[in-house]
Amino acid sequence: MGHALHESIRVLKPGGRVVDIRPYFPAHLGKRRHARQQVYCQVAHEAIRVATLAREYVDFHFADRVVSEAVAGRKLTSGARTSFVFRHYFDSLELFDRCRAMWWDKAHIPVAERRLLERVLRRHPSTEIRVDTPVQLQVLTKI
Amino acid sequence: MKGVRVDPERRETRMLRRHVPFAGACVLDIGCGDGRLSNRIRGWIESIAGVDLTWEDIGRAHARKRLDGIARFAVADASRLPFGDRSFDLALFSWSL
Repeated sequence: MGHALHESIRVLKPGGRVVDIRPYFPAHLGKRRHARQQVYCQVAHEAIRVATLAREYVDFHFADRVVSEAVAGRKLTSGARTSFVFRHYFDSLELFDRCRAMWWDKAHIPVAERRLLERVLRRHPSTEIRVDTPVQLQVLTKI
Repeated sequence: MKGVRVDPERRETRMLRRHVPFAGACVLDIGCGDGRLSNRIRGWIESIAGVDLTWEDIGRAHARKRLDGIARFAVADASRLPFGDRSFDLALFSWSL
């Protein structure tokens, strides 16, 4: 069984494009805070930063490697590349926890930051929780 | 999902529009989930096929009436796609590679 990227190359026409959008956690930035998912409480027009999600980055670095190998193997050529911040908003802590478990495997919040999040939500019960994820968009062309 | 808003600012859609030649394309949305992104790009493309691993997600994608006529969705493993060689102009991985 091959990797999904190899299968996508098979079903693409020559000159077709692979569009790869995914969280951007480059290995060279390590665990620096700005390179990780940030959690905010959106209180009126103010965003209060309450936590940083910690997670395993192995899968992302593996995907980076698979893409690099496809380019080095002359199956794909690199094209446009950009990055931006992708936002999720949650109405409640329960929804945030459920989606965190479902979508962001192994992402967790340090205990102190979790307490801060709960404290802000108690003080502002109608606030939304916002998660900012650094994301990259990469376009590759099938040779 | 009720109570969850995903990219309401549509930054992802804007970036796609700026960097990807969608006009007239036959698109494969790999890991399409509930069809969120297929729905957002539907106006720019010729057709779209979406695959994901679970019936739950594919069922929600099917329920998007705005995609009727241009989209088809199927449960499939992305490493064994049920399509012939050279079938698509674009392969889209959104949070799925």
